[in-house]
Amino acid sequence: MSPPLLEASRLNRSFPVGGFLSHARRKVLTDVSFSLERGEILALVGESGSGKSTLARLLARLDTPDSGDILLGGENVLAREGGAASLAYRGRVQMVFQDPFASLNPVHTVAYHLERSLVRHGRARGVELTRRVHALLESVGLTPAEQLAKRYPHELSGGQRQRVAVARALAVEPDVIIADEPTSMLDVSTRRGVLQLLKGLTRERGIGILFITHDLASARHLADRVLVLYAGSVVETGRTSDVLQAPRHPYTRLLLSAVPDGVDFLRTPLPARVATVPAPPLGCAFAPRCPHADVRCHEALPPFHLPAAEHHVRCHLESSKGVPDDAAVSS
Amino acid sequence: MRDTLRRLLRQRKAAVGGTLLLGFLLVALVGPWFVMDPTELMGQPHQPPSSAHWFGTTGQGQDVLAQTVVGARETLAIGFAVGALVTLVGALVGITAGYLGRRVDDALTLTTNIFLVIPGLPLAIVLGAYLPSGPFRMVVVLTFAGWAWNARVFRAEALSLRGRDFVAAAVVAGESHLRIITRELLPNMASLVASSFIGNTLYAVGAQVGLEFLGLGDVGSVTWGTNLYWAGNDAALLTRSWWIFVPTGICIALVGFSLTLLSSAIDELTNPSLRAPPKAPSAAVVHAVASPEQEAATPGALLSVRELSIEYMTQAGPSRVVDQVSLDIAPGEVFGLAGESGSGKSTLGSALLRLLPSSAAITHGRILFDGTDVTALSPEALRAFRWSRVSMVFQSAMSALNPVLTLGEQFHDTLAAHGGNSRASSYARARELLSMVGLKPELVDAWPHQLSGGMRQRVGIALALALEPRLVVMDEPTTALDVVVQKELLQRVVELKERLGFAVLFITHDLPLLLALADRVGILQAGKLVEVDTAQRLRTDARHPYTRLLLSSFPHLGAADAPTPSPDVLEQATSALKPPLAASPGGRR
Repeated sequence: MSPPLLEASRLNRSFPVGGFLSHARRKVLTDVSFSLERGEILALVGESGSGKSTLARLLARLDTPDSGDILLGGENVLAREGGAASLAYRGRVQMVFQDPFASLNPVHTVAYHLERSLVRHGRARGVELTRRVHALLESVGLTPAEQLAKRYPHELSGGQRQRVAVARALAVEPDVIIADEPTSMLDVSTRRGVLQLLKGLTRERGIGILFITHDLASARHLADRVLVLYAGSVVETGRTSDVLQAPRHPYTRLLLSAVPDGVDFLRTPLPARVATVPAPPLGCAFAPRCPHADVRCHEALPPFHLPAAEHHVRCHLESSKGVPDDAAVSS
Repeated sequence: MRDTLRRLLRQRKAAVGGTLLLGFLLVALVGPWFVMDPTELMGQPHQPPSSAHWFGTTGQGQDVLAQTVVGARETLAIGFAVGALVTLVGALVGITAGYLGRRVDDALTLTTNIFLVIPGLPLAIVLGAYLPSGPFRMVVVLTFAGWAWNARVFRAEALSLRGRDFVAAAVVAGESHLRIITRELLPNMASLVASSFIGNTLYAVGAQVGLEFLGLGDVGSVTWGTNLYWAGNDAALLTRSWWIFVPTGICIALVGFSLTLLSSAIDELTNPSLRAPPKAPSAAVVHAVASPEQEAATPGALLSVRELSIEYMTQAGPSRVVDQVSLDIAPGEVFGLAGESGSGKSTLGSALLRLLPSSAAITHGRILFDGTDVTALSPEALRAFRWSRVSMVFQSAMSALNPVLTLGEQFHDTLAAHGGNSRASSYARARELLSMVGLKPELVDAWPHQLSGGMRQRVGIALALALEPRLVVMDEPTTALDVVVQKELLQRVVELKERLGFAVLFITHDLPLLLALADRVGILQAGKLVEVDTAQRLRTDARHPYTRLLLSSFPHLGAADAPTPSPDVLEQATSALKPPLAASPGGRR
């Protein structure tokens, strides 16, 4: 069996907190592992502060983990140092940022952004360059390409800018695209276009996409698999249909019940408690808010259970089937 | 008209400053060839202006005109040299520290701070005593004493730019550090470089003249500073020989003036917020165009908006953001207003409290609240009306709360402004309001920064309810919140509404949310209210194509989805429907 396209293994990251002399650190990611296959969309969902963006930055090599490994095609990329190795990685793993108003440099034209990626990775040069820029713009649905190439970012709409950002990622012909909430800054009517564009890339070019989002509804439509992060730990992962239609972890259920969908959305109570104690240092981070938590949850970190094929849940109650059926989400 | 005048004035700032400075540069460059030798003793000392010596003579009999003209050369040369050097060193140190960060930043920032706490003048005096005399000494001394502050400015700018996504995107694209600094960061700092250079030149001229006046320069050279030094030494003031120091003084002042003009012109050119805002369209027409049918409020309605139009004045002329909108809100009703960015929904919401920015004005129509015409309220009546009758919850709770006041003080401010409660009773009410929105009453002594986003928004709602208003305008109050926090907050709002009976105007782009929350929903597109209906009917029976487009744009969690048009069709439909960019000056993302 060939190794997965991109694999993260027990990634940890913490940041220093407190003053200049303080040694305190706040853990943002704890033992995060996952794999991404060719042509697959993996949705990474979680609330703000759950570590989604930190994970994206680690995978884009904008930041380095405290421990853990990142494997690209089975090869450990963190072990290789130096400019050439970094450039080779960037030629295979690209990122689309959340805010297209910030990710394009206001002083450069659309063409400049794309040309730099093409030149830097030796994908095109000379006369060929202009032709490739136009082809890239057309491939993301930006026409007429000749005119749009000459524009500056402020002359484009949000949806157009995000398409330029996708085109820039595509310029290096990557195997993996990390998309960090690529639609959250866009108007609703342009969101779906960008999502369809991403989906098309996986089908046509076999690119693997890590789709980071807080929006479960778009995750359901786009992703093959879902990974739910809570407080820096993976709490549930599995095929989209399994996780979103038969959620096992109490946090996944909470998230699902909070998605505005349906008439009774505001009438159904949230399946959570108000946290009165801080998260236990050794136990499950969700325990203080969990309506089903018991002593075990405050004392030990639950192991992963596999209720179905490829479906992993990190919950004590799952092992003893302590979650009552009526807690399941009606929608 | 006034706008054009202001723009002309801005151009004139740069033009006047530039012409003055160019004049001085020309004099400094070629002037010395046309005047006498400034060091030669040409005539009687202390002679007032005459045909032989236009500006008179110094206390030693030198020609003052010659001294002033020749003095310009070295003074300006040193000024510009120091200005350039300080900018260069400061930018280099600052950008390196800001961009590379970590240890490099720590070391460079420490050095910069040490230089900053050493007082510049004594440092310059000490240095001046050790270095060999000459113009270069002055350049070295002033650069040494002046670069640190500039490094701080550039470091701050580099830090803020480094955090921007386009820098991260360039890193991901594989660009080198050097190229990122020179091609991504520096072009974004062009205006800072220009204005720093001018500001530093101004500093250099001033500091140089000061040092030389104290006799710390090279007293044998001819500069404006030494001119003043000799004027002082020769007792020009005691002998009332004003002509000796006045020409030099005027020159220094004029150079300073021209540099200040230039720097201010650059600032305005690059920072639009410093520009005078365009004047709002005249609001005087409001009542002239009031037609009889807009007089009448719907019987039983709490709020009746009638044919309301709001225009922003932009560089391109007036732009109508709200266009002939009429709507009614009943007491206790939740009315949802949905629209995309630039649709005018926030403008409409803030107009109900007459909280429009100065560049916008109501140009047509009326807002009738419980029999009162809000558009016609006097400033005092408006102050009394706001918050006690209609209050508002903003999208960004952090910017709506004052960061330097405890929550209790903010409640006291609001309560005291409407009826002057004692502090003790304000705090009691604040505790009551905080527990009403589900927060601990003890938080009355907390500061805004100690609260999470969801808690801040609860405080925002508590503040909005402080005076028991009958209508609360909520402008995207949950957009910045996580879905779980959003639902908790909205459930609390619904519960309070049932208990207290206030009506809500809820503004958001999230249509599925509105359909679950609101009794009735209005769809705003490019300033026009294209459809208003009950939430129930909109869900199944939306008529307007734009409403249907919006509804289909939201993916659902449920398994079965209505077939949706292909993305290309969708985007073409919206781009055709969308207002031009210029029409959304108040729009938020």
